[in-house]
Amino acid sequence: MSEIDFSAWEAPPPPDGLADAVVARMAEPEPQPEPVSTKRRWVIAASAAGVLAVAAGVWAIARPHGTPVPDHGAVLADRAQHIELGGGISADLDRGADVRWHRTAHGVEIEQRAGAASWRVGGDEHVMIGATVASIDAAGASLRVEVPMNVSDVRVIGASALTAATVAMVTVVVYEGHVKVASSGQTVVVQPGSTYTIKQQPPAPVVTATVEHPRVAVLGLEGWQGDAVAHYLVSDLRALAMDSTAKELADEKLLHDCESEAPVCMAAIGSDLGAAQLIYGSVASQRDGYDVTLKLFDVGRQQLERTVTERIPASESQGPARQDWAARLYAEVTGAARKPPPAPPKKQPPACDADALIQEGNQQMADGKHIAALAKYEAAIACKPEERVERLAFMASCNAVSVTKAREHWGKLSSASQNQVLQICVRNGITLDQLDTSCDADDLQQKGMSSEQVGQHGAALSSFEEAMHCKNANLARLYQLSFMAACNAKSVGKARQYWGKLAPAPAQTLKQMCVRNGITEDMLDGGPAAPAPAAGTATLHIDCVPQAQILIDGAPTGKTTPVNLTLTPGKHKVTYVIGADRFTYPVTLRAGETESVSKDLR
Amino acid sequence: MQAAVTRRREELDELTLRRAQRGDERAWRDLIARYQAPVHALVWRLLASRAPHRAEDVTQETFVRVLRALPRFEPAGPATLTTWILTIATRLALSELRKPLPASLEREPLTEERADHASERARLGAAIARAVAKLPEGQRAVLVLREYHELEYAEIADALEIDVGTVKSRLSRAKDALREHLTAMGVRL
Repeated sequence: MSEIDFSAWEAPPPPDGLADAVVARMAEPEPQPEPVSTKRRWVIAASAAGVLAVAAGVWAIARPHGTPVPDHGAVLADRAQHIELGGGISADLDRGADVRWHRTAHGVEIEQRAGAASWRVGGDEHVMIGATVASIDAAGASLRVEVPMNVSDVRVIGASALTAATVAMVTVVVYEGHVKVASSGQTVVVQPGSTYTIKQQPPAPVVTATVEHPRVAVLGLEGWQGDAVAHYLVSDLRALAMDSTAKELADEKLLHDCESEAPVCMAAIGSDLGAAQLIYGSVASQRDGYDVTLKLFDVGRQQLERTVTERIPASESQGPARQDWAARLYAEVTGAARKPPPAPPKKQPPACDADALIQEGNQQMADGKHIAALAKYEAAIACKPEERVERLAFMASCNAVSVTKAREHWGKLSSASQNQVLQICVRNGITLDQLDTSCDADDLQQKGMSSEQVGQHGAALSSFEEAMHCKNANLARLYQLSFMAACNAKSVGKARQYWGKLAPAPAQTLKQMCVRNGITEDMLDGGPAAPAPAAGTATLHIDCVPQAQILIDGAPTGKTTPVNLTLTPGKHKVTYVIGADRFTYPVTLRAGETESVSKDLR
Repeated sequence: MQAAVTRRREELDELTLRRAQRGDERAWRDLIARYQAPVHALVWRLLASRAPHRAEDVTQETFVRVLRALPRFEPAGPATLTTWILTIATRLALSELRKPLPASLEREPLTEERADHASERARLGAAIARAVAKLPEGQRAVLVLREYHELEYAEIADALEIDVGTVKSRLSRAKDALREHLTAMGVRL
């Protein structure tokens, strides 16, 4: 048949909107199998009855005690949720909690890798909770364990000079029962009503046990809707106040039949809690952060002493930045700091030799010292952030079987890089689910919107695109936001990409965003793109926080970010110059296309 | 023989596949974008003689079934994702061919006039279409999967649930019949 040109019989192209139609159908319930006939149903019922009878007999002989539950499992809570491990062991997990367990002959071994959980352990049961830097032994107890998500892997990376600066803290609040906490070779019995805090630095654990009643009680803030930021902020404040009461303002007002925060009401609440002072207030989520109001109430004098209101930017609402804010707010409201807090120090890349650090890391990797290698790579990233080093750090994290660290570096990789290196973690037993679930579409969307509001359109687009990979992504909304950011960044290619994903009605409304930036509807539809680079050239959109001078292939352009440059296709090096610091990134341009490079170098 | 119309393309990357398997809508769309052309071409060629108007619906149904079954697809298994998807498409198309045609629908003629005023290449394409349409459906499926989608004999055997020997014999008979039909139509081979 070699004489026949089969290609002459051409098939038509696939229909437009096929993906939309398929995705829409996937939202419909899956059709059930056709109902079986009456006769067949009788046969199945009789068979099932027989099987059940046999099973019942077996169960009567060898029935388990209590409700059967899996003897092992794992939960990464994407919302507050309750889990039952059987035998009277249960937990209420806060959003973000990462918990695994397995039952042994001696009880249940639990690993709480990150987040907060309130545990209840029945009187006959015994659990061991591994919480990064601490091991918690509980029997017949009720307790809360909090592992800050940003330091949950400190045990793995404890030797790192870079991370030594991070204060790792695990907090154990014991409500009732018998609890022992072991850390750094020291075991402490934590009494009911006490809080035990373990800090990685200074090395010796800081014990704040046997506190009968706190002098300052921090009530949960009003106005938050299950938001993790508000929750952790309150946890931070309670840790600073050494408060273990864990009471909510709204609950206490209701319990004391108070409609307002009248002094007589607050005094009654404070008195019942045995507190000399109360801290309470509210939190309101804003587009670019959180408005937090804290009040200090003197219970004895029955009067409001001080009110503090601050807006915590979204970019500072997690991890150490949030803890800094908690400390600042706490100091202000308690009067410990009467002068304005100093602005957070501007991060300056340390004077260091990134290439030397990478070399050292590579040697450590070759020697199988993955944790040490990771520390070197992270030091190199701090010195000079580059994606290739993020890849190395990801590889070291995977080989060290550090989920948290792998997740951290995974989030900084491009899709192409993720695709290249995923297998490294997979072969070490870390799944894509464990890597991907770290992202929160809402947070990323918020981050992107904050960037967009300050004119960082490229950064905004990156955040929106990153958010699309999160499980809770609202794709329709993200397509619209990405289209807006692409238009404002004057990126014809990206705008065209998202234009095709917009529903017809919003597309017509949003079109003006591109039109006002010189991108016409024809260009969006794939027509001639007037501002597009001429054949044989390419356009590079460069953006950066903070503003930077730009060098291309080492040569000054005289331009500062944001800027669009017309360059020859091929490989180039983009250098951001910020003060005395230089950050260089490779980029590959294709003829006739527009690429975008946007960095956050604060 | 000149190059087949639908060359085998690179498989979907592992990351997108894994995301699609756990229900990531964006990954679903990437998967559909990657495979919609070969799937639609396969379905359309199998149905061209009888129900080309059903090609769009069968293509859509193929992807719905693919996405629903995707979590059970084993990337390390014997079938590539392409083969697996084309298998689903083939079975749905053959099933469609076995359904009775509604009385209100006439078979779309593989028009002579379209070829009459078209180029030589278009006339050849139309002649191949008419010749393929005369093949029994089993032979047609083997021919299309082999010549247009470059499946291996074993892959075709798995897709159609027949022996490899049967695949080879059907392909041989299909080519002989095709040559005969084309010669009868005046196509110089």
